[in-house]
Amino acid sequence: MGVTEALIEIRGASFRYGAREVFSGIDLDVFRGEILYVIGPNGCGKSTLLRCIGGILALNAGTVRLDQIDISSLDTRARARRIGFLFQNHTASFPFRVLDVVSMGRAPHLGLFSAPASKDVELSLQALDRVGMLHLKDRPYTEVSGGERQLVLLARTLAQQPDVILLDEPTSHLDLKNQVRSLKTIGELAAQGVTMIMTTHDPNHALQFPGRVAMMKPGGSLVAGLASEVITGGALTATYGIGIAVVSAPRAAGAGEIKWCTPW
Amino acid sequence: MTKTSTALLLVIVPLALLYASLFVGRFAVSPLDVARILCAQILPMAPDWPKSAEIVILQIRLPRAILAMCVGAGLSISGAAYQGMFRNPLVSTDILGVTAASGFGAAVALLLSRNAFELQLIAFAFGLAGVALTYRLARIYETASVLMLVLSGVVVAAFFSALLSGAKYVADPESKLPAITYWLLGSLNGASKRSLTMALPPIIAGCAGLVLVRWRLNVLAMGDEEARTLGIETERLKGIVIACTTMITAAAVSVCGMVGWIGLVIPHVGRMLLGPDHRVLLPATLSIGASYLLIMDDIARAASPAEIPLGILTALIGAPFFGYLLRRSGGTWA
Amino acid sequence: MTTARRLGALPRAIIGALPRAIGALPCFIFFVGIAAGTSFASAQTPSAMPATRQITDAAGRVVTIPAIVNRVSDPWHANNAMVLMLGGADKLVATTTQARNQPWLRRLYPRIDQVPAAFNAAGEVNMETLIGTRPDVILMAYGGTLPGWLDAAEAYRVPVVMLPNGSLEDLKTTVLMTGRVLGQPESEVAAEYIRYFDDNIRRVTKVTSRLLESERPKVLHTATPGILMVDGRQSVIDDWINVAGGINAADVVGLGRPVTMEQVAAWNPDVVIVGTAPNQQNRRAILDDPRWGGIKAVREGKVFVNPSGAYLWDRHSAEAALQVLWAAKLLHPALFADLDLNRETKRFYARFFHHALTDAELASIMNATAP
Repeated sequence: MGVTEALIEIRGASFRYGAREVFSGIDLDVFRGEILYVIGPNGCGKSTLLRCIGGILALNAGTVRLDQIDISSLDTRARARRIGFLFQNHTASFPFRVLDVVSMGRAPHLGLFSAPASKDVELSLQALDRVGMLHLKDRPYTEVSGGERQLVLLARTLAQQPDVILLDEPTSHLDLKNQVRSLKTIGELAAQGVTMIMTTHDPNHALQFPGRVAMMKPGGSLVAGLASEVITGGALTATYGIGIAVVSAPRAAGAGEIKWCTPW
Repeated sequence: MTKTSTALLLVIVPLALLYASLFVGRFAVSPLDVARILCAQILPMAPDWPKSAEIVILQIRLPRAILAMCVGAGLSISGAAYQGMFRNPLVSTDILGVTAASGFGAAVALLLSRNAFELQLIAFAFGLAGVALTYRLARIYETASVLMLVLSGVVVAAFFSALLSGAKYVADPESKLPAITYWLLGSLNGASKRSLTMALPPIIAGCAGLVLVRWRLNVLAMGDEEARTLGIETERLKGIVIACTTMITAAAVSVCGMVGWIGLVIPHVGRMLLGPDHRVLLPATLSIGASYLLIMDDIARAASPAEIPLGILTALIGAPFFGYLLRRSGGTWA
Repeated sequence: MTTARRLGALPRAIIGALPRAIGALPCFIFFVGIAAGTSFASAQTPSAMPATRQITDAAGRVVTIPAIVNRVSDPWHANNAMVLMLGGADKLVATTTQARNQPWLRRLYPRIDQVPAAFNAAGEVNMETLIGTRPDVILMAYGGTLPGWLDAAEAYRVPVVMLPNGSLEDLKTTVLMTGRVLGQPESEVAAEYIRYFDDNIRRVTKVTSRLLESERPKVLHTATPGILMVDGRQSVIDDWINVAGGINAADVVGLGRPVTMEQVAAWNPDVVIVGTAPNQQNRRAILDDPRWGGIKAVREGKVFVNPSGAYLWDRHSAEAALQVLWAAKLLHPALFADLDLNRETKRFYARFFHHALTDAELASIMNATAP
């Protein structure tokens, strides 16, 4: 695979909920500055794998190493300085200001009794700017749209300054326009060198945006590689259990071609 | 209003009310004598006022007013912290069973005919024990989820309420039963310098603890899982919050019985005035709660020869006000 | 009142639950059978026409009771001692938990332990226990409302006589009515007691009625100081304070009213009487409390413990006849120098409770400690 050294090395990862085995024996490398899409049908264990990488769930066997460090040896705070998380559904609570929400990303860098200082606010404003949401900074985050809220929460993980950001179906509750806006922003961040792992139920995200793909089958086996190699009609058909084809069409004005997959 | 003037107002109003409260009461003391008695505490003055006036001001009114403020402040900040931690606007300070447990402790003390000070100690101890039981019950697999805490609180509160009913059932109807019933309605009449020395340290320590971790409460309000990914040791933070609020509430309940609605309503008032950010909200609820309970208690002790139970006043005024807030906010967070 | 409402709601709740309880129907029929059998039996047992008499009670009801009453149920804690004083205690078939726990009542009448407590502290009844004791009549304090279980008791043909409860006059009426319900010998004791009581009141008022307003000390009669409660106007306590030549300092209405510490300071009583057990301990608490420090009674050392015997002397008790003497001597020692309260007390218990008090027992009563 890649020639650079892997930022994250997953070796022999297995996880069970009680007696039910979700996945076992997974090996996977994630490289610095890349975006890795994890695709697969519902219930195959994508989100569980992501939570294991993030240290929210503990593996039953195997290791996840980040920069050579076993993440299970890190405490909550140290882990949060290295790994940021964006969940698919955030249940809003109090109408905090957008900027206050973003600055919560500074929590792992602050002591138990501290609050964000001006330096942290500065970093938070920069993070908001990177996702293009700076104009919303004084609005209550409960009153912005769903798509805007996901980007605000993405800014929060940026303010966290982690080594890697884990995104769990970040677009699943968004309409098409907001999906594209979010994925573009995520793509731009990847281009700026932010390492990201993102689960998605839609293989098109992986086909249409740059990055590598890991495809999980029910039962937990995993194949990783370039989108063009991994996402084939045959592989999709085998994974999802229904007939799926990958088709392509030229983009407007000679901008190459666009691929997408569809059931047939 | 600018930030500074708001902050100034939040400091000045309770202090002004405290001063004014010393002039209000059933025992007639001339305002001049009140002022002179207070001055005599710092300046050398010949006491030419009646001794009983001095006792009323220094032993009765002042401790009672201070206790009212501390209890009001403590219950309000506890309510605000719990509403943040449980991410629920209807949560009050007694959600983990502290009030029911303290109430039972007080009933036991009254059954055993203990004096006011012993009653406070016993009620305080039972309050702590009740919440410890809830916390123990809620902790599975090393974590105490919000749902488990609430459910365990319901269990423990129901258990102690049943014990309390049992205590009332066996109480002497000529003397003990009215005393228990009255105590449950809430009153600051037991306030004395001695009860201040008992109740103030835990209340002040608890308030200080909550004020120190107030920004982290913002993060905790995002939910346990998210807060953990943001580096918050949620179990430890929740433990701190529970310990602080329990110290406050148990101390408050033990000195003045069950005074409801403050912990529920004042945080909403604070949020309406100053927004949801706990960095601002928590200190503000201290001030608003202190002022509110002080006014309520002035009414309770001065409006009629017989003391009006404080719990009745706070609910009588708190409930309609809460209804108004609900209407105004249209069901969203105030 | 809440009791009445709760019990009133109960049948409706049962009826409401019935359709859902079809599975329990056989069980229900069984109970109906028992209930029918019971009323059938009670209607049949008196073979001839039983002799009855009628009595008008405090609620103005005309109650028909058996001519001869052998079994009495008394859910009024305080009145159990009255029944004992009248010589009718052996007729008690049901009492209250509270009466059974009154230390001096147990000493004077140990059999009280064997009388089932059909009534709990709140005066609510266990109807099955009560019916099981087959009372001829139930005696009950009347506070303006009828108990919720009255209809149920009457359905079982148990008459309930309501007795007045409030003033000293009510106390005397209650003694006479209780005597009349119990029978001829008890009525004679009641009459003797009332003569004694009236003598005592005359003896005291002969002196105290001449007192000027300024010569009458302000008396505060308290309940628990832990929760400060005082006994106010329109009560038996207010009555004996007035008879004894005092003024009730508590300007509130009724017994056990919570007041503020500051209000007590404003009343500034000349004398404080502690009326709730453990009186000695409660007296100590008042003397130790700096907030009481400015009050005249405390400054002058006039904080006293109210005696307590078969029942609390200061309330609805046989010893109310002694209470007027005790309070008069307490408030006006110079005017009642010739009154030997210890002798008077010993004679009273010998005459009405047939118990010769030892000196230690006398002290226990005067100090309100358990025997």
